[in-house]
Order: sequence, then C-alpha cells, then structure tokens
Amino acid sequence: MSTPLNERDLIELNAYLDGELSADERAAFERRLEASPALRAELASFRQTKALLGMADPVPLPRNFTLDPAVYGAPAPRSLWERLGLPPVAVYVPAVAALVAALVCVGVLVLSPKSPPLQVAEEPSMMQAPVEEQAAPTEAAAAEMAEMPSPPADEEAAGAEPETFGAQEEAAEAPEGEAMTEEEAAPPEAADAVAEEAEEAGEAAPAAEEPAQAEAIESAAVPTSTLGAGVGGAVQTPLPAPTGTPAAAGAGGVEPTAAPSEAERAAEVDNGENVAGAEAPTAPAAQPAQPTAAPTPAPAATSPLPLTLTALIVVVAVLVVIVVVLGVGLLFAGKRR
Amino acid sequence: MDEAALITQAADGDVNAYNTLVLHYQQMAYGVAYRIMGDSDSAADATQEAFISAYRALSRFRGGSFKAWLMRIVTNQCYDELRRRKRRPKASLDALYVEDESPDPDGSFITHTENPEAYAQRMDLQAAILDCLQDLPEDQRAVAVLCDVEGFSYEEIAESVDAALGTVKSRLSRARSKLRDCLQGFTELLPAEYRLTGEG
Repeated sequence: MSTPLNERDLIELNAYLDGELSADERAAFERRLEASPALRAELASFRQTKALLGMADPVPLPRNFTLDPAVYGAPAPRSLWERLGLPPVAVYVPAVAALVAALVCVGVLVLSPKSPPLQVAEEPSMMQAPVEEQAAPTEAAAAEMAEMPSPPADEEAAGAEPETFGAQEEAAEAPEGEAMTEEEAAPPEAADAVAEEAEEAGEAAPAAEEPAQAEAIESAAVPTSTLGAGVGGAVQTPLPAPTGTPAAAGAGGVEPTAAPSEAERAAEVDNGENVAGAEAPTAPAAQPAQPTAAPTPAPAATSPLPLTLTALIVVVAVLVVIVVVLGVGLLFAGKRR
Repeated sequence: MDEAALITQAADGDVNAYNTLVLHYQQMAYGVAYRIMGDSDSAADATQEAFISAYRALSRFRGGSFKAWLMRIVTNQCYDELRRRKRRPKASLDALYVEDESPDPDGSFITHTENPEAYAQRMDLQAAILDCLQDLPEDQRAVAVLCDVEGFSYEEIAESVDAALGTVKSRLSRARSKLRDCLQGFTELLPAEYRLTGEG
C-alpha cells in the first residue's frame, strides 16, 4: 500500500463510484487509479459496501398511507394569490383596502349630518322665491320669514301687537307659519280686532268686515287656500296667511289640487257674499292651523339635497362590502393552506 | 402516471389524485423512514405524518423533483421524531432494541421461492445493514440510505436533506467508510458472496 488516502481522495473515489464526476474529472481519476493500488483497493471495498447496501430488501408496508377523503376531502384550494404567483404578503392587500374604505365610509357618515340641515333650509326658499314673487311679491319675504325659527317670530309678533298679548300666547304655541300670519296680520285695522282673533290672517283683507273675518279664519286654518286665492285674483291684497305655505306647497307639491276650491271660497269671503256663517267659531280655526303648518317643514327637510350624499354613501358601502368579502375570503383561503 | 398533473390536481384539493402519488411513493418513503428510525412503528408514524404534511404544503411545491421534495419532508419528520426520542431516551431505546433483534418479526420478508437457509442469510444481511445504519450519525444515515438503498443522485440527495452538494459528498464518503468497517464485523455471519474482500 502506498500513501494513505486523505478525505479528498475518498470523496472523489465515492463520486467516481457513483458516476457523479464530469468527463474530465473521471479521466483524471482513472489515471490516478492505474498508478495507485491503494486507491484501487479502496474503490473495491467501497463498491462492495455499496453493493451490500443495495441488497437491502424493500421494507414491507404495515399499511397504506393514503389520506381519507372524508377527512382531507375538502382542503382549501390554492388561493388566488398563489395561483397568480404573488407573494404571501399580497394576501393582506384586500384587508388594507377594506380598512381604508371603511374609514372613508365612516368619515362620510360622521361628517354628513352637519351640513344637510343648513342646505335643506335654504334650498327651497332659493328656488321658490322667484316664482312666488310674480304672484305676490310679499310672499317671498313671507317665505323667508317662515323659514326662521318660531321664537324670533314670537318676539316680533309681541312687539308689533302689544295689545293682542293674549293672541300672542296662542301664536307662541302655533308653528312658524302661523306666527308669520300673525305678524303680517297686525295692520292698524286689526288693532280693533279682538285679541283672541289676532292670529287669523284673514283679517288682513282690507275689504273684509267683521263677518268676513270668520271666513278668513277658515282660510287661515288652511293656509294653502290663501295661496290659491292669490292666484284667482279675487284677493289683490297679499294675504298674510300664505306666508307659511309656499314652502309647503313648493316642497310637497300636493296643495295645488286643493287650492282652487278654497280659493273660490276665499274670494267669496272677500266679496262679502257669504256673510252667513261668519260667526263660525274661531276656536277650531286656531287648532287646524297647527296641523297644516306642522307638516310643511317635514317634506322640505327630506328633500333632494342628500341625494348625492346618499348615493355616495351607498356606493361606498357597496364597495366596502365587496372588498371586505373578497378580502376575508382570500385571507381564509390563504390560511387554510 | 402523469406526476405533474396529479400534483396540480392534488394541490387544488383532489385527495384521490394525491393518494395516487402516495401509493406510488409510500414504499420509498416508508423504507427511508424505517432505516432512519430503526423501527416499524416510528417509521409508520413518521411516514403518515410526512404525507399529511406534504399534502398541506403542496401549494408551496415550486416544481423540480417531487420525489426529492417529498423525501425531504420524510427525513425532516424522522429527525423531529429522533429529537423527541432523545428527550426521553429510555423508553424509545428499549423499543428500538426490541425491534432490532428481529428485522422481520412477522415473517413478512419471507418469499415462497427461497429455502429457510437462504432466508436466514438474507435476514442476517438485513439486520446487519440496519444495525450499521443505526450506528451512523443521523445526517450521514439519511445520505447513505438515499444514495445506496434508494438510488438517489447527489443532486436529489442535496435537495432531500437540504444541504450543499459538497456536504452530501463529504457525508456520503464518511458514511461509507463507517458502513464498510461496520459490515466487516458481520463477515462471519454473512454468506461468502456477501463478505467484503477489500484490503482496506
């Protein structure tokens, strides 16, 4: 035996035995084999060892190792990200997008309630003022007054009509529209009127005498009729009663149908034709006035303005739902792997 | 067997496709596990766990040799079990000792064409191989099994044991040297054709 083999020689020898050398390396190693009996002996012993290990029998299987479809039958399919070859971190993109969208949605919802009331109150008057001015110029101003809160109206009414203090108390209970009626109905002629009748806007009609006041009360009770009366032309003098109605008429759009008949009645009253029934009780007049004035602000408050805002919220909400569902689905699909 | 198609189907949740792969590779997987672990029960447990793990990890298989990828999971499963065994050595070594006394306790190695003497010689060889393999360090054991028993190439071994090619060559050289020396100790027990004749 010649010089002992080092580890490098043994590694090369085993690689030669396993056919893992390149052609050049193999040729070089074979030249060394021819010159070294020790290398040949080592190669023989390793070849025999390899042969012995190759005689190892296949180990009998104790059982099959197949998976039970009932247990593993529905594994999560590969997620979209894995199919697209995206890195695992991309799974969190939908979640982040959903979070951002949710924040935007919450922001819109939080900020929206502040602006609508202002816009709601202003828009109807802006749109109606020019139209009303043609029929009754004072209605525009009256409409603006109607939009004002009732407490100031009460104060003005109190200042304009100190003598009709009892009526003011009733007016204080009445909604805005009626308060305006009172204010307008406070001309000098009405100063003679009984205090409890002060709220009746019909008194503002100059031509009307006491009997007519009773009917005027009815017209005040249904403010929309006075607007129709103005259109009919029977009443030249702007009636105070309608002041509260334009907003309702413009917003609701329901009044025009009832207006003609009541306008006729108002015209009759003004002409003094219908004196009978002038003694109609005044008490009921004040009560109906409240319900008619009350509904008027309601329709105006829900009108058109929030449409864009509502649409925006709906769109954002839909997008949020889609993104959240998509994101959660993908997250679960990725985690079930 | 269209292995690539089966892998794709299995990755999409087709258990039957995966079971086809299992049936094709279970003999190799169990053989590797058995010779690394040294006993059939541990080998069976490691093999089953490896197939389950491989199924769950199929989406992370990026091509290449599926056999090497699967054997990597098997060898890792075996290493994990061996580490657990070291933490509680007494019970496990006892079980291993009992198992080593008879490589074929239930006679499953018997073939109907060989006589009892041939069967006994073959069993001696199987016992010697298994015993010598168990004397190797774990990393060398896996390389020797994959190369000389299962016939893997160096590249496949490197992928299976997650090591560099040079590391594989070095481990294999050392393993064979030890195996040669170990098997020479069984020379008298082996039939003439199995006796090592080298001068080394």
